[in-house]
Amino acid sequence: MKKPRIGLVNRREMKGYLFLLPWLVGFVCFFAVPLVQSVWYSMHDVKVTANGLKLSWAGWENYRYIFQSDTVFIEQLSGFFADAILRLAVILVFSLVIAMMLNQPIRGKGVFRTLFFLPIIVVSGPVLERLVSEGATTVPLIETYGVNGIIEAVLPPMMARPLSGLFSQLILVLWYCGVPILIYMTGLQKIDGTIYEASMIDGANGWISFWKITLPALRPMILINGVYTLVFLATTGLNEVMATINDRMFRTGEQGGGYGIASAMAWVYAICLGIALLALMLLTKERKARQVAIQKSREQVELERLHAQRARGMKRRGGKRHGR
Amino acid sequence: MKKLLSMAMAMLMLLALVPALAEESGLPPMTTENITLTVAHWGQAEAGEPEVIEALITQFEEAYPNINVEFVSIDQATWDQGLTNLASEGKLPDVFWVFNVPNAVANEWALDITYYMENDPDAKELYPAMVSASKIGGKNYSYPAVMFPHMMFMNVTLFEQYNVELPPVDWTWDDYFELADELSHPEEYNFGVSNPLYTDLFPAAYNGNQGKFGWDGEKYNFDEVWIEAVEKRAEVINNKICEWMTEEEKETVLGDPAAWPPGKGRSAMHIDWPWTQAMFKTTVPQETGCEFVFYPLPLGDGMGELALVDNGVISASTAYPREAWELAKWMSWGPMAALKRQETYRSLGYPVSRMPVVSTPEVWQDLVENAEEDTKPFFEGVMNRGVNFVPSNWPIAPGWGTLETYYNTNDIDGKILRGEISAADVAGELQAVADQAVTDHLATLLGE
Repeated sequence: MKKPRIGLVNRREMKGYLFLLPWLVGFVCFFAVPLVQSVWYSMHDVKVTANGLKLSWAGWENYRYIFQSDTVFIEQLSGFFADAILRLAVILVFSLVIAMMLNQPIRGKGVFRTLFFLPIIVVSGPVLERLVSEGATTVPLIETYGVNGIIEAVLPPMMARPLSGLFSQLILVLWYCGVPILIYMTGLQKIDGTIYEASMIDGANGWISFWKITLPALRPMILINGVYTLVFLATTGLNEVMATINDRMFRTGEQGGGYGIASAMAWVYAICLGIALLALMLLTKERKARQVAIQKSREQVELERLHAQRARGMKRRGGKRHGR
Repeated sequence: MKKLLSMAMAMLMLLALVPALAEESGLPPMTTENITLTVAHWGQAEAGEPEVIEALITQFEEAYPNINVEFVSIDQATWDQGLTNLASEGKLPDVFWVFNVPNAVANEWALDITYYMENDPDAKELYPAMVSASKIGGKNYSYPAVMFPHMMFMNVTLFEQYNVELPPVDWTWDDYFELADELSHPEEYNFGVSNPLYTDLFPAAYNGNQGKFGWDGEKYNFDEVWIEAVEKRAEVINNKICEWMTEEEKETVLGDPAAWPPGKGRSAMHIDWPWTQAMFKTTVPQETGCEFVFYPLPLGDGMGELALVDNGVISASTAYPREAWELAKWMSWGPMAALKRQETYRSLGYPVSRMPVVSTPEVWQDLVENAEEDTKPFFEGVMNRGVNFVPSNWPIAPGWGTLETYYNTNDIDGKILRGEISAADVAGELQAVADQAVTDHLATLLGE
C-alpha cells in the first residue's frame, strides 16, 4: 500500500500552520475562554465578591448605560478615532520615507536602522509613561511659537483638538514608526532591482518609479502597517479609552462600573476598531480587474509617451554628433 | 449521688464562668487552634511604615502565639485592582484597608462588624463619631484605622510683626475670625488665613457628629451651619482676609506664578494636615525666616473636628471573624496598636503623622510627652479639650459620588463666591439631591 503523498502546496500550507501554531495554542489556552466570558459578562451585572463571582442578568442594560448614561466613554471613543486617523497617516508616510532612505546603499546603515528601531523598545515599557509625564515627548518649539493656539483659533474644535494633540505628541508618534519601518524595508528589499533598471531605460525618473513601481509593490505592506499601527494605537497604555475601561472594571455602585460595564465597553471598542480595520482594508485593497486594466492601459500610454520622448532625444543627440 | 451532685456543681460553676469570661472581653473567646490570618495595609513606601507593621505583627503574635499573621503586599497605586484580583481568586486578606467603603460593601467584601463595634470594650475608646458617622444603612462595615487630623499652622513671625498675641489652644472659631481680621494686611500681601475649608469643618465643629456637607451616618444636612460655612468662605476671600492670590499677583510679589503663598510665609493661620508639618519645620523657615507652631483647630459649640481617616474592613469570607476583628484592632485602631506605632516611629526618629482614632488618655499623653515644642500645643489641645473627632465621610458615606459631582459640576462654591447665587437659596435643592443620592445608593448597595 502506498503512503499518501503530501503535495507541494499542502506542504507549504502545513509550514504556514506550523508558524501559526504557537499563536493558536496561546489563543486557545489563554484567550478564547476570556473572550467568550467577556461577551457573557457584558450582559450581566458582575460582582467580584469575597466568595467569588456573582452574576445577575442585565441584558442590553450595560450597553444602554454606555450610550445613554456614561459621561465620558463615547466622547473618548470618538476622540480616539479622530486622533488615530491623523496619527496613522503621519506614521505610515514618515516610516515609508525613512525606510526608503535606510534602504539606500549608505555607510553605517545598520547603525541607522538600529537607531530608528530602538524607540519601539522604550515605548513598549512603563518608561514611556514616565517620559510622557516629564514632557519628554513634546516639541517645546510648538508651544513656544503658539502653534496649538493658531490651530485652535483657525480650525473648529472638532478638527483642532486631534491636530493639536498630534503636534503636542509628535515625537511620541514618530517613535511608533520602528516596526512599520522594518516592514516597509522588507517590502522594499523584495522589489526586483531589474524593474527599476528597465523603467530607467524606458526613461522613468525616481518620482515616476516611486509611483509606478515602489508604491504598488508596497501596497500589502501598507495594509500590514496600517493594521499594526491602528491596533498598536488602540492598545497602548497611554490610550484614554483603554484606561477608562480598565478604571471601570474596578468601580462599583454609584460610580458606574464593574466587570459587566467594562466588558460591554471593551466590546463596543472592539467592534468600532473592527469597522476601522475593515475600512482600512477596503482602502488599500487591490483594484478590480477592470480598474487594473484601465490603469495598465494608462501606464502603457505613459510608457509609449516616454518611449517617443526618448526616441526624439536620441535623434537630437545623434544629429548633433553627426554634425560634429 | 454525691458524685452526681459534685459534677452538677462543677457544671454550674463552669456555666457561671462562661458569661463572666464573655463579659470581661464582651466578645466570644479567641480560638486556641493554630491558625493563620492575613492582613493588608497601604503606606508601605512611607518611611517607618514597614517597621511599624513588623512591630505590630510581632506584638499581636506575642499576645496570641497560636495565630500566625501574614502581611499581604498590594501595590498602593492599583489597590482596588489588587483587591479585585485577590477576591476573584478567593484570596482576600482577612483584614484589609479600603479607599472606598461603599464599594467594598457593594462587592460584598466587607463583613458587618456592628456586633463587634457594640460589644468590644476597647471600641468604646474610639471617638463616638468615628462609629456613628461611618454607618451604612445603620450598620458598621468598616473600622477607622488611623487618622490625619487637620492642624492650624500658626505663623508666629506674622503674629509678632503685627503685635498680635497667639491664642490659647482652647480657642474658638470666633477667635479665629477675629484674629484673621487683625492679621490681614492685603496691601502687604500678608493674609490672616488660608485654605478656608469651612464647609468641611463647620458641621463637625457646630453640629458635633457630622462630616462634610453634614453627613451624620444617615443623611447629609445642608442646614444653617453649611450656609454659614459657605458664606464665611466667600466673605474671607472677597475681603482679602484669606489668601487667594492670582497668578499675576504671585508672579509680581513672589516671583513665580505657581508659588504657594502659605509656604512663602504669607498666611498667619493656615489649615493643613500632619504630613505637611515637616516642610514647615525645615524648608519654609529656611526660605522665609518665618517661625511656625502647630495648633489644633478652633472649637465650635458641637466640639467636633473633622479628620481624614483611613478605613479598614474585615473580609466577608474570613473563616475567623472574631480573630480577624482582634487582629484589626491590634494592627491599627486599638490603643495598644497606637502606642506601638508611636514608639516605633520615635525609635526610628520619624514624626508621627498617622494619629490614633481612640481618645485613650495614655495614648495622647504619650504623644504630648514626646512632642517637639512646636507641636506640643496641638497635642495638648487635642488631649485637654475633649474633642470628638469626626471621620472624613467621602470614603464612607453613600451617595457621596453623586452629590460631589453635582456640587462641583454646578460650581456651587464658585457661584456663591461670585455672588451669583445665595447659599440659602440653593440649600434646599442640594438637600433634595443629597437625599435622593443616598436613597439610590443604598438601594443598590443593600437592596433597600
